[in-house]
Parts: sequence; structure tokens; C-alpha cells
Amino acid sequence: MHNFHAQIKRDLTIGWRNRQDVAVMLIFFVIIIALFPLAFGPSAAILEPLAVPIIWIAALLSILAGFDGLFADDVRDGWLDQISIPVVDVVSGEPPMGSFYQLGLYAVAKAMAHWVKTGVPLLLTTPLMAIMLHMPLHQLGALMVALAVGSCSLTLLGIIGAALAQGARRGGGLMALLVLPLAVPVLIFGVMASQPDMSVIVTPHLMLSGALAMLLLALAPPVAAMALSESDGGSGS
Amino acid sequence: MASDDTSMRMHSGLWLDAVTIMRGIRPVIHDFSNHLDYGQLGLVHGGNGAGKTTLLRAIAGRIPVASGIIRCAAAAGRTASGDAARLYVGHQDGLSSLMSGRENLQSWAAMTGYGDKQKIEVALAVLGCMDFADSMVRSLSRGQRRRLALARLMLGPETALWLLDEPNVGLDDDANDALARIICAHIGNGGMVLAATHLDLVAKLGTKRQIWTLGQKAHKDA
Amino acid sequence: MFDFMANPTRFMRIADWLFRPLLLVTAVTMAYGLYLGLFASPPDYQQGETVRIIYIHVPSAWLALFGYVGLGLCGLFYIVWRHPLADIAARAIAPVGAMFAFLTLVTGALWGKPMWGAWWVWDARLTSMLILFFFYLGVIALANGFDRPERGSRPAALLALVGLVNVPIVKFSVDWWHTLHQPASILRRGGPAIDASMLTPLILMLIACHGYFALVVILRMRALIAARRIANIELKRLGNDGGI
Repeated sequence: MHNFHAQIKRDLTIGWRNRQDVAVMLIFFVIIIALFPLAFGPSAAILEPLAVPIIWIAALLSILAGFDGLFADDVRDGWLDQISIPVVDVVSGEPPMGSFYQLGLYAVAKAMAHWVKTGVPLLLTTPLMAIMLHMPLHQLGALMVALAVGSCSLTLLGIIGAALAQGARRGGGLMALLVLPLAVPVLIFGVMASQPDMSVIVTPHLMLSGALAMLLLALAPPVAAMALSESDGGSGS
Repeated sequence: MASDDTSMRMHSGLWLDAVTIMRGIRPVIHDFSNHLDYGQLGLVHGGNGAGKTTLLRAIAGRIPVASGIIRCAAAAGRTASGDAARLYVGHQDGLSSLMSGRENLQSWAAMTGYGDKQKIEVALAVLGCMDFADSMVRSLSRGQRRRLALARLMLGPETALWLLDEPNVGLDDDANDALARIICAHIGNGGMVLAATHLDLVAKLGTKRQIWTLGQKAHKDA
Repeated sequence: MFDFMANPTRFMRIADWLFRPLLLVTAVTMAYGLYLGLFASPPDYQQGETVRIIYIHVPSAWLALFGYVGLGLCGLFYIVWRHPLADIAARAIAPVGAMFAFLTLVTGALWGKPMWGAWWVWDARLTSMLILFFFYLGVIALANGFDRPERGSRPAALLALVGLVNVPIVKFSVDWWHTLHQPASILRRGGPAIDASMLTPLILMLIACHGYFALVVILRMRALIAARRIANIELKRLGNDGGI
């Protein structure tokens, strides 16, 4: 699976060189959250019950906003062509896997690298946001775990959306339109998993969240591979 | 599909059998058949829009074939069911602009399993890239990027099929010479090269070559 | 691939043959169903005359779901068999399904006002239907979102397939969400009990709406096939399409 590691390494390297993008995403996250007290008023009595949903919505929008043109650079550079040509093992002459599986692995590698670049910083910023919204801190554990699972689901949904909308005219907005209806269960189960009745972290809601993430993990690679497998690369002549 | 008797014939090299490729609802390549054997150079000729890029991309596996068969069988003496490795240099260079040339090649080598550190250095030297191999690709000129893209070819196996789409665009004389040399060397080692080019590479290469003409109902030319 | 020329022709011949009888059946059932529903059947003892809207609301909801499943199946056919008729059928069905979803929402709102006192309630079924409506819009936007129109067929088919798997999950999550946030409601869950005298017009309207759906889809498919043929002729006339 050396190509999987190679793709992650590549994406993280490029991501590091573009590290201001992570800052932009985090600022976006914080600004969205800050809008709510500005709109509702600073009273802790109003903000406290809303804290968890606000953080979730801000996380959802921030993660999805970062998917605009996820594959666009690779398509434009011709990298997608390179990785989808079936590789032949030099020694045996046998192709270890076909173009479809190669693209599927590429999609998962992209998802993982994106989660590290986007989901992890988001998770690290969440405690600070919780304080800003007067959230009772004993709930923080459940929130972090639920967000960790939910951000994986959202990342995978973003991969599907970006792959489907790749090459479309109004890419970013179109991708959001496609993904948001499908993100509803992630939001619903995620918010419920973040607010358990007792101080238990693993609740049925969390398990449903996890199941959803697993389903998306199974769905995203084939859908992305099918969506990316045929494309025009530059004009003919 | 006629797989049984044709597979008997397709024991080595690149075979195209009654291939039709659609672009949208229009057949760009229609009922095209041809064959390229190991140690041969094929030049694809045709006017604008004749389908040269489409044909090369279809052989590379990026565009599906509407009917017919494209088969790129491994060299005789290897595993019977093996495919030949395909290396494609298209209009785009396949380089990420935020990495250096060397890093790009290393990344590609890690992805495909073709080539190693040593081969990369040799490739960079042959294509004259040593001076700018560590600069970020976004600061390089068109010709320099093209050299890096072509350097990739040298990392692949000896018996690979090289699919080149307008390889010499933006290259200066030195680079053109280097390109001609590596193509000759590859063919000499038993590889296959199929190139679409407006310019006449033939003058630079002393080798025999086939000419594939697209644009009309084309059949095998010698 | 040149089956494309044969199959749509065959389909259109069958469709033409079906059209008149289908039109007749639809017209008759709709007329009779509307008459029974709007005039001849009894008003509900609880809701009065407003219950009559179910004769449009229920068939609309049913057909919105039916269209969504049909869209998913067309997507499957297109992805697996690359059948061009599947793409045309999907493009024909999507707006019709979307329209029925919209109609469901509107009739739901019109029903809700006298019932619950509000123009919109976040009822589980209405909310699911709203999301289904957004999903329809997404598929339509994707299919038409590319510069080269045929480029959108594949992503839209894939999205329809993804939806086939995911929209039931959305429905499940919305039901779950609704039961946990149970608002005070005077509406008995499940709606009014269906009496025999209401069943007949309901079934008639269901049949009528199915017929209407089929008629409009056939008309749209005819138009789409004709448009493709014209585009084909244009391309041939131009000879070379000048590279892509």
C-alpha cells in the first residue's frame, strides 16, 4: 500500500506549504461562532443551551467550505491522470490493482490528509469555543468525541461532493447544495451524541454516528473513483 | 466480443482492434485498428481535432472505449497475462507546483513503485534538470517543467509503453536532443513509444517508425 | 453504442402507442377522483372540509418518493450499463419528482394552517420531504452544472445512487430527531383514519397522479431525445467539432 502512504505524504507536504489555508478555515470557524452571541445577545442563559448546536453548525460549515476545488489542482496539474493509470509491478509484470482501486485509495488518502489538515485543528480549537459560549465544561468530553467522529463523516461527505462536482461551473456552491441534505443525519446524531443525559460518553447516538461514518467510508471511495475516472485533460489537437 | 481468436494474435505489444471512441455523442475515433510491437516507434499524425489526444488517453486508460479492444500485452517471456507498464506524458506535466522537481519525481516514484533515488538522479541529469531540480515548480518556465515531466519516463521499466502527447512543446534544442536520445535508447532497449506530435521528430531520430494517421477512416500504415 | 439510435426509436414507438390510452385513463380517474374527493365524500368529523386536501397531498408525497426511487434506478442503469436512455429518463423524471415534492410541501402547509395554526411545522414527514426536495434540486443542478451538458450525466447518476442509500438514512434520522423533540401537537400521529368512502377517491387520485407522472415523463423524454438528435445533426453538419 505504498501508494496510499505516498499520497498522504504528498498531500500533507502540499498542505504544509499552503498552511495559511488552515488558518483561514479556523478563522472562519471562530467568526461563525462569534456571530451567534452578536445575534442573540451575550446573556449566558441564552447561549448555554445553544452552545453545542452552534459549535456543530460552525464545524459543519467550516469543514465543507474547505472542500471547494479539492481535486481541482490535481486534475489541472495532470496528477490525476498519473495516478489513475494502472501500475504494473516491475518484478512480476502483474498489475497489483486496477485503475479503479487506485483511484479509490487516492480518495481515501485525500480524505485522511484533509482530516488531519482540517478536522484536527478544529477539534483543538473547540474547547476555546466552548468557553466562549458558556458551555458547561463537563460536557466537553462528549462533544469532542462526537465531533471527532462527525468530522470524519463530514470529510468523507466532502470527498463525495467534491468528486461529483469536479469540473462543474459553480463548483463550491454546487458542492454545498449536494452535500448539505446528506449531512443532516451527521448533524442530528452528532448533536445528540454531544449532549448525553448522563455523564456517559458512549451513547446509542454516538454509535449511530459511528455507523454513519463507517457507511460513508465504504461509500466514498467507489463513488469518488467512479466520478473521477473519466475526464478530459486539456484540449485535443 | 471477438476475444478468443484475437487473443491468440495479441501475444505481445500494443493492439488496437476496431476501436471506436466517443466524445459525448460523437465518434472521434471510428473503427481504428493498429499494432505496435516492442522496439517500435509509432507517430500519431492528424489535424486539429482528429483525436490524437483522445487516442493516447484511451490507451492510457483514462477514456473508455465505446467498442473494440485495446490491449497492451507484456513482452514475450514475461507472465502471459501481464500488461505492459504505461507511462503517459500528456498536455499537462503531472507536477504539483508547490513541490520541487525532485520532490515531484520522488513522490511519483513512491506512488507507482517505478524508479528509485538513483534512477531519479540519472533522469534529472540526462534531461538537464540538475540546476533547477530543487526549485519549486511554480517558479519554473514551461520548458523546464516539460523536462521534469519527461524525466519521469526514465524511471519506468525498460519494456514500458511511452505515450507522449506533444512532448516537445516548449523545449529548446538541447532538450529536444535529449528527448530524441532517450526515445532512441528506450526503443533500443525493447520498449515501445507512441507519440503524437505536429513537429517532425523523425529527422532527429534515425529509427524506423510507423505512422498512424487519424482523421479519416485510417488503417494500418507502414 | 449505436444502439442509441435503435433503442430510443423503439421506446418512442411504445410510448406513442401508450400515450392515448394513458391520457384517457388519467383524465377519467382524475375527474372522477376529484369529484368524489372534493364533493361527494364526507368531511372528516375532526377537521372538516380541510381534510380534502389529502386527495392531493398523499398522492403527491407518494409520487415524490416514487420519482426518487425511479431516479436512483436510472442512475444505476446509467452507471452499470451506460445506457443513454437511462440518462434521458433520469433528466425527464427529476423535475417532475421535484414538482411533486414541492406540491407535497405546499399542500402540507395549506393543510397545516387550519390544523395546527401555523403555515409551517417541523413535522417529521414534512421535514424529510423538504430534504428530499433539496436533494432533487441538487441532482438537477449537478446534471446541468457543466459546460458540456453530457458531462453532467455521470455525476448526477452517481448522486442519485448515493441518495438511494442515504436519503432513507436522512428519513430515519429526522424521525428520530422528531420523536426526541416532540412538540405539543393536536394532530394524532398517522393522520386521520381512512374510511372506506375516503379510500376510493384516494386510490383514484393515486392512479391519476401516476398516470400524470408517466404522461409528463414521456413528453419530456420525447423532447430530450429530439433535442439530442438535433444536436447530433448539427455536429455532423459542422463536420469537425474543432477539438474539445
